[in-house]
Amino acid sequence: MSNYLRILSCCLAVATTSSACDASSDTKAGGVATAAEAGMAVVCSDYASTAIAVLDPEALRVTAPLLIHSGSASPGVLVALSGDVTLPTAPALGGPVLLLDRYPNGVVTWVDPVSATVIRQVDLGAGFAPNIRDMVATHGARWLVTRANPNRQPGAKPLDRGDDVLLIGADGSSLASLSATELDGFPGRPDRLLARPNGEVWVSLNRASLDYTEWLDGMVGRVRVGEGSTLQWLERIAYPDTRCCGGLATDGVRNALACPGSFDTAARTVDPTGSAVLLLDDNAKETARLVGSDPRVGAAIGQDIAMLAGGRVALVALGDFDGAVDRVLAWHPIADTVVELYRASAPFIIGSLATNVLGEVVFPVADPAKPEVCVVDSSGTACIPACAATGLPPRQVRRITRADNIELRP
Amino acid sequence: MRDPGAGTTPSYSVPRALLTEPGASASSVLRRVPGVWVLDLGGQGAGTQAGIRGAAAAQVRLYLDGIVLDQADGAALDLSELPLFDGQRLDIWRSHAPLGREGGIGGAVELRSRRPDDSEAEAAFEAGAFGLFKLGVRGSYAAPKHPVGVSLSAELLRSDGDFPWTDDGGTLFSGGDDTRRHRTNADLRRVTGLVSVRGEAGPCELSLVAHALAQEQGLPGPAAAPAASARYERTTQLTGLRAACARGPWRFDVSPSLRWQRSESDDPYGELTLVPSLARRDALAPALDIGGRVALLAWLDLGLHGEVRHERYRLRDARRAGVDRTQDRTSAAAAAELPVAIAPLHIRLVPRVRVERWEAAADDPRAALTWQAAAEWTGLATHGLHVQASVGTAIRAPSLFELHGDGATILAATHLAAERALTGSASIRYAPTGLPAGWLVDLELSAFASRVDDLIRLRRNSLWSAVAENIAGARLRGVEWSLRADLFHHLRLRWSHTSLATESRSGEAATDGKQLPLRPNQADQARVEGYHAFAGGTEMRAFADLDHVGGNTYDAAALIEAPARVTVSAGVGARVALHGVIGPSASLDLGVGLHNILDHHAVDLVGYPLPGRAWSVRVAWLERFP
Repeated sequence: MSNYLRILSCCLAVATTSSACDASSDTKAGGVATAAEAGMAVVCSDYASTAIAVLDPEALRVTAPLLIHSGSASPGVLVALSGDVTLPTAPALGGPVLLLDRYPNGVVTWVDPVSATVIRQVDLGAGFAPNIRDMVATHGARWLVTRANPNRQPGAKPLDRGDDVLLIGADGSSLASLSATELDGFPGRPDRLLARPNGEVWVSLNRASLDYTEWLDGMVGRVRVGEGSTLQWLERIAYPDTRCCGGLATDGVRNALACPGSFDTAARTVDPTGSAVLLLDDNAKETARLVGSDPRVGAAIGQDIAMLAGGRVALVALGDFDGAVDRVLAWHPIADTVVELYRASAPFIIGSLATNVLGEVVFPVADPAKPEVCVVDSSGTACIPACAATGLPPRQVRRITRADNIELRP
Repeated sequence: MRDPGAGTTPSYSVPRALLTEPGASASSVLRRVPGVWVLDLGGQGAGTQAGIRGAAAAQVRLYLDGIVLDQADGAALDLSELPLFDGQRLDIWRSHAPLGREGGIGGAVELRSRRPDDSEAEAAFEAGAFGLFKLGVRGSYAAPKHPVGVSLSAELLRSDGDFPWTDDGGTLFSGGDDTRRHRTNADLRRVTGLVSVRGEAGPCELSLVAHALAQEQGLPGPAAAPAASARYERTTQLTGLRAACARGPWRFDVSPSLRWQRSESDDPYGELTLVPSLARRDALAPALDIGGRVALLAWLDLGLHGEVRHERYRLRDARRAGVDRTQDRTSAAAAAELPVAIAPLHIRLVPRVRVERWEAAADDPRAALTWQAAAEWTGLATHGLHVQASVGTAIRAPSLFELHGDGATILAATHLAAERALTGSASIRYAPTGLPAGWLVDLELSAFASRVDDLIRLRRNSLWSAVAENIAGARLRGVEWSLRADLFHHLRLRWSHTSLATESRSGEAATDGKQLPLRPNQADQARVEGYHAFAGGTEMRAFADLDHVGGNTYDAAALIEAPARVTVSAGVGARVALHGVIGPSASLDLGVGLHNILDHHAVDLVGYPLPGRAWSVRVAWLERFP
């Protein structure tokens, strides 16, 4: 039951997201460099309202305590930012902060971190709740967006059917849709995106039925973006005995995929073999696996992973309602060692993972009484109250600019 | 069905005329009451809750003809289900309720149905915007020479609920992309019925009231994620007997009652809760209410009240294996008050104590003692001035839902303590005497302050799961006034005002010291009505309403400030006295209402738009028999 709830929240990725790709972007930051422009964005949220802060994870200081929040615009039927906002896996081109207002709003917001103004907003819902999961820049000043929910409204237009990878132009207009729905109608539920150096984009696929009662093996799909606004599946690779695969990360040499596992709404249990972290080669083939049932983990694995220095993969071992707390672990796939980096005081408070330029893990600790963002380095754990402007618990940290001097490779 | 005792707690009563005017709903009626805040999810059947003086809806006790409607399993009470067509009046007690209605932190609300005191027949028809259709019929017979009466009534309600709303797409920073959409899957079909019987046996008056309701409706969900397939069915039945006896200085009454409900919500695609469900909920709640009052001395009374209730809930879900659980709770309370009249000082003091105990199968029994002291000064009562003050404590036991969760997204929290409140309030009411015949001025000013501790709140620990917890508390204070006037034989004025200040004492970084969400800091409701009464009882009227809801916040962190809003409504009506078709007299009521004329689009809760401009027309024929 407890795992069910935890995985429910995690797998559907409406509460937690992973941090990945910190070194993978080949984009270049532009504009006038300011303290607020560099570093990481922090999503502060109690799932009812959201605020965004910016911090410098290397100096461990807050550079923009309140960039934008749910009340930054006068509310209508909806509000400026809902309680379910996340950041894309990869930093955006040119340095804006991209906010994915996922469920139910389905809105992407570009925010200038220097002036704290909204540059653009795009509604990708068109009357349904698309559950935007990730967004990545592609060539031609275009973007790929994953929408995990299908549109059940009758008469949906071809570009508004959801459960797809959507290509949008610089102005936010929809250009092409690549359906993730399988031939028999089973939803693919595309999740995270990872831009590859060869122009491909990898898409993780949760593969859960409409009612979340049936699950298929997790997948990564390789997508080619054509010059003429065409999208094409190159290959879809299934990973046996995994469920709800989502988080993608790379250090430029190794690639990793997180699969938290499924929940069965009928049996109300979690399939323990479905929870794993996979190491992938450049063709997205599996080369190593750490499963949640491994005694060194002993828990379902969170959907967020991050690549650390030395070729290690950071992951979250999820706590539960029976007394287990959240833990941050480091897995070395070559040596096959698992080391505990951080042990939280409670379950459900470590929402995501990221990496600073030194290859150290950065993560939010969403303790309502003491909300902080922490970094684990060789000397221990250091934390700062990144969300002090609102007091909201931090849920996610993501790099918003490319760290050129990042040292992750083994 | 016990009438509340003669305490010093003033009530605010909404008369039948306002309950049944065109377009009236529980939401529109309760917004007129000073101190009441309303949460309307939009349109007929969408769900309406109301709190009093900043207290949550769950902290207000709700009665229908004396039968307690609040439920131990914590299921929200939808006030839109109150059968206003059958209502004689709606009573609201703020903070402190009289003996017989005591126990709520926020006070109590009661709808009293019409008694079969006359022989008459009535048919009422109402049509309105968004497919609104109401048809009500009622017949009552009162024996002319015997204290016996019986009435039967039924009302059919249908609404499509497909009102338009402005979809901003969540892009509040980008203008020009707003679109108009219509709510879908928001239709409602409802049938309600009432049987009321009264008689006498020796020194006792006997009465029976039976309410029944059956409805089927869509569940549209939040506007940004509309649910196309979720449906809801509900059947309820309430029956209450009452024997009220009086002999000498003694008055005594006993009221057994039975409440039965069955509801079924079908969410085949998990549009509302993400996980598909086909949940059936059955509830059965027999109760016994006993009250008595005796004049011990000329200046000293003794009032007693006791209530015992057993509630059983069964929840099953055909789409979720393992979800089939039954919960029981037995609760009992006893209260005693000792009104003392100090004639030389024109003061009446009413001290009261109350003990309540609740026990569920899975929990240890718990008990709580609360108290209240009220005082009334009537030194200038002959001039129309009444002064009243009360102070007291109250508790709310955690619901079974809060204690044990729902087995899915709400987690168990068996350690929860009861909410506790200490509230003081005072009011001055001035209804001057000596006005010209037919004139009325009734002005009431009240103020209160409340300290609430161990407030129970659902805290999300992920977007899809939450757990109840006791937060440190809250501080509430406010001022209200109301004016009712009938002047110059042609002008009626009504104005109610609420000012409310709330502050969370949660101890959490995000919410401590912040305003409690969804409680407007100010509210005003005003009506100006011109009328002309003709000889024979015919009257014509025209009115304009102004509804102002002040700013508040939508979230506990108080980041989202809800803007203040003003809506304007107007209507005309006529009551025409006629010769009856069968009986000696009849009346024809005609009414037309235009609501929210300026088409102001607003929400009480983010994601749930309220209807904009709307109209309604009502025609009612009342035939009186000898």
